[in-house]
Amino acid sequence: MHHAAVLFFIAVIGLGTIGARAAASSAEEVQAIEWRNLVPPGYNPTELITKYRRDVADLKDDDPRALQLAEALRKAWEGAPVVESLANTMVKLSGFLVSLEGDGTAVSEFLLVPFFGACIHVPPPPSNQIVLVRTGTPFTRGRMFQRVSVTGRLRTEKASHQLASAAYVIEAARVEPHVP
Amino acid sequence: MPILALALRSVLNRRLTATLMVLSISLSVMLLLGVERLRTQARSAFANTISGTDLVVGARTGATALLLHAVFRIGYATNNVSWASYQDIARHPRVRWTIPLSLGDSYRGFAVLGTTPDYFRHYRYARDRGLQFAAGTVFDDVYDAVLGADVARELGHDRGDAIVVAHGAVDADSAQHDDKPFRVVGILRRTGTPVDRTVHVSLAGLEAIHLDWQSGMRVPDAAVSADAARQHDLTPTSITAFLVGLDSRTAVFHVQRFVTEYRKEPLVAILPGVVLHELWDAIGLAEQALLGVSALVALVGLGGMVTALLTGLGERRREMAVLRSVGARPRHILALIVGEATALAATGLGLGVALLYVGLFLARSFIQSWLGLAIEIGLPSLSEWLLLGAVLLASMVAGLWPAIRAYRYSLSDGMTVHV
Repeated sequence: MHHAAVLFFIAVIGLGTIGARAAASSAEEVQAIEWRNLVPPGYNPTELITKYRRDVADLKDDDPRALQLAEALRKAWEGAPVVESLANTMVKLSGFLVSLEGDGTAVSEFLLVPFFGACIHVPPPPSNQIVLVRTGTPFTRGRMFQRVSVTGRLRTEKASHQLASAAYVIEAARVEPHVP
Repeated sequence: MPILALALRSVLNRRLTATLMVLSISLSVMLLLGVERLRTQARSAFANTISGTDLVVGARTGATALLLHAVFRIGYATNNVSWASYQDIARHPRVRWTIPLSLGDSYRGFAVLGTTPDYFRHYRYARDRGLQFAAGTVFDDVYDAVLGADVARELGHDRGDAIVVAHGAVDADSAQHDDKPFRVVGILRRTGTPVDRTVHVSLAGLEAIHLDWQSGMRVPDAAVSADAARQHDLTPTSITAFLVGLDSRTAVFHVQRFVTEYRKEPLVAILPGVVLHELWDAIGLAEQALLGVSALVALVGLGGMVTALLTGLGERRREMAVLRSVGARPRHILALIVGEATALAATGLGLGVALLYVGLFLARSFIQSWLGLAIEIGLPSLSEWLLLGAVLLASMVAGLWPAIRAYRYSLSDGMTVHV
């Protein structure tokens, strides 16, 4: 955004050149994956949600059973299993960017989530639908929740906590704005 | 070379207009670069202040307000978090560490922060840099204090000095906690963040100085001496906010959800990176507008130069004729005018950059104490060089116009001028 302003000024005066960023290519084949590929076959949180909805409908807010169910749901969410066979492969995945670290203009670490607004309005996605991305070169970002494509080696990282299963991480990722 | 000397003398002969041209260009360049510099510096200073913290938790309020108050010490808190809620959330299985923050008092204009030794262990800034001590160590006793680098430097404090904290954010003689002075036990290295302008004390210390302030003012009869205060239970009842680190960053939404749905107290948990990003999105448009306006000012400066050159041409027809008579060709005249415009603009650029650096140097401490932003005075960045190059190129292009006119004049006039 900020380079755009600089370039805009140059263009006003009548210059206008934009250097194209050299794209680093990898010899290994990159597999384009989708979010459902990150869920092991047979894992179905919907069952739990349906049960939760049905049971909770006739419970009061502070009913211990409601809290119990909520707890069960939370555990299922945090402990969502990962697909181990994808570990250590080169993948390309697109989703929405949620910044974690960076300087004023570029993001060096962010969470990639499958849908827009994945932090406040709805229950958070299960842990196997969140990918932690550390960029190779910081990505000069656009707006919040920008749609991006991430290419890099997918790893699974064990959290110290026993409840949670592993989380997906892409290191040294190449990040581009998503082109549909 | 003689041509250059002649050109220089010609400019010197018109030194008043030339000086004005250079001045107007330098002022516009200073404005342009200054806006660009402050914009990027403000962003990086903000972004560098917090790193490695997954969530900031406080009483339910606006996300930006919470971040600004808890991390940047800007604004004020609308409410507190109870100690019990803090402990509940700190016990969440995914939480690896927490840093409680208690704000509201001040010491001679600097914020006083009540916290725990975990602050010095876990707080990170500027891409994972931890706090380091320039002298001394972490507070241990109830009345120990650790000073940020700027506090120690500006007030000339060293280890062993006694400081008296004031009640509230503004120092007032009537609201001093002067019966319970703190002793400086440590001084932190410079970080370039609001930490430098903070006095750190233990939560127990803050609690102790407020023991006899329960009714909003000090009740002389209920006064508790510094030593007597040690006998009281100094566990705080509430804190302003706290920072949270998790065992895995991907758990951040779940813990955020846990805090938002916490039943006993309305709390909010924010992702600092997200809130900063939203802040940039919100003020981005204003920044662009500011940059656009200063670009226009630079154009106006160049326009002034072209006007001055054009009006000057009439008076200089005799000069051109003399140059022609000594063998200058019309294209030499063209080059002369373009060269003059470029040289004037380049001088303006140089002066503008110099003015900017002088201005930054003078305004630095003011900006730091006013906004808490550390301004680094470094070499121009890539985008600043681009802006400078653009202005220089624009001045060459702008110089072409009077140059072409002069070229035409010298063709038609030859060596005889009919003014």
